[in-house]
Amino acid sequence: MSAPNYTRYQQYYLWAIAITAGLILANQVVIQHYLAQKRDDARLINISGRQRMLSQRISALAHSYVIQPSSFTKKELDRQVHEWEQMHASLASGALSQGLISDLPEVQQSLQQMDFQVSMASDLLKTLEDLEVQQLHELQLNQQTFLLGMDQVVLDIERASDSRLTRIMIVEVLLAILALIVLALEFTFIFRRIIRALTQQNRALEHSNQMLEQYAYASSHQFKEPIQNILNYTGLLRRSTSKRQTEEQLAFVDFIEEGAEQIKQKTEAILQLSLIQSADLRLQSLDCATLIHEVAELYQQRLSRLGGSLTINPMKAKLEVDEERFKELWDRLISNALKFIGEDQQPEIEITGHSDGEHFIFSIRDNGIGIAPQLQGEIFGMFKQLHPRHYFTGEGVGLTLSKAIVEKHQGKLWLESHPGRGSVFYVKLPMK
Amino acid sequence: MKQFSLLVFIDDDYPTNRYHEIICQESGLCKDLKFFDMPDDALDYFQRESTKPGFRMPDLFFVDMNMPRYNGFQLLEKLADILPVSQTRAVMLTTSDIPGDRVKARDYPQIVGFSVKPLSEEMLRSFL
Repeated sequence: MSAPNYTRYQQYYLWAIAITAGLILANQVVIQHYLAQKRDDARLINISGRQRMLSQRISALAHSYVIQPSSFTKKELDRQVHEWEQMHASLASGALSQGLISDLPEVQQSLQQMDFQVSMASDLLKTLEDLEVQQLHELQLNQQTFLLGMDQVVLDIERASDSRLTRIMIVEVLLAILALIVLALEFTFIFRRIIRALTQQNRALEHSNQMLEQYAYASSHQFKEPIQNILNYTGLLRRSTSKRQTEEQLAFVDFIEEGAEQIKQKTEAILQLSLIQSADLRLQSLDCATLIHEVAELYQQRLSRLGGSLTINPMKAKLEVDEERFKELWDRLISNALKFIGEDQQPEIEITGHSDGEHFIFSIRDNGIGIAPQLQGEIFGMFKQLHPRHYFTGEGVGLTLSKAIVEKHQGKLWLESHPGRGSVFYVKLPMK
Repeated sequence: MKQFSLLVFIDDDYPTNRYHEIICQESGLCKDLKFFDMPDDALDYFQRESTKPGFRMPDLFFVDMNMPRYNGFQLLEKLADILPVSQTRAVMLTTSDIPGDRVKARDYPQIVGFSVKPLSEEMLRSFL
């Protein structure tokens, strides 16, 4: 199994994303460019149409002026002629579009041809007062020619615009095919490879996790028998020959026994931890308050001997829990609350519970010695003890196992504490 | 005083067998004891002896849960081919009390108890 090369995967991902983004950008550039041209084309066609309309209007105005002259008609006619000329000049010079349309030779040619009509009409209209019916007729014919020319211009522009549309459609299809090919290549050479590698790593991790669990279980299980043998025989040794043994020898036997006892308990803890982690929970919907009461009952004697108290506030806690493990959790938490109590102090423990809708949150408050904030992270570690062995009993596994039980229930265990002011441990379990 | 007339221990760990022997002897609760370090030896022995006249059925078998080649349950199954199940009473010996084992033990009518090693005099007395 090769070591996971996350940097390489990251590079692969970046390449894939960059290529895809590049394709999208290229597509946008093509489409936007085309749309801008299409807009120009539409404007040119529009203007051409307007020029045709203007020429007809000019004709009509000239007619009505000749028949019945009025200063209003004259002014209006001058304005229209001026606009018409201006627009024609703009069209012919290509100032109205950035596209290629107005540069099309046939369009240029048509527009140039129409220069004549425009200037002729313009000249005729300058001497409007002297126009006669014959000249009006000429003006009309001139306009007719202009209309035909503009028709041709519009037709040419439309044809050019359509052929550009066809080109763009082909380019778009090609771009889509390219995008699909790139996607297929990315999938084959990048994503599939990454998925395969990650799947393999995942499997390897699962396997090594299983191995670790098995190892913890098997080794602790295997250690128990020889350790028990040491304890069995130190017991016999002390009993059978104590009369002939010196005090020093007996002390040595004590040390051996004490050491073996520690190994035994730690081994048992490792075994329990691996069992909690690996074995499936037997979940049942249970009234947790009742279970906590059952565990607390076991501590009543000790509490009354110490003159302490344990209060369990009423709570409605029907949750999916493994009965055995849940009781073990509270056994450990109560035991923990009782353990770290100052000398000559009477333990006061309070257990509460409330729901936030999604979770149920239990808390167990004690009036013990408390834990400094900087040490709070450590107390859940395996075999972590913050005090010398002889000061408080235990192997430093209670909270580790508690946390494992809570986490196996998809929950969370944490604490709030200040030295000298006791601790509050919180257990948060999902309500489902 | 009430006594066991014959107890059989099948456990591959010699020091454990020896310790159990001492506990049994000191308790005075047992007349005869028989120890097997190898499960196969035990099976051979009962195969051979069970047909002989004068064969005594043990009061209790103490069977270690973890042995090479057989676990305790498998050994009981082999033993069931040799000795009548209805007359066999067995106590399973284990170093760790694993909940699953106790559940499985319900399938074996000959199992009368589960004990975490080592045996003590009180435990012995409880099976009398």
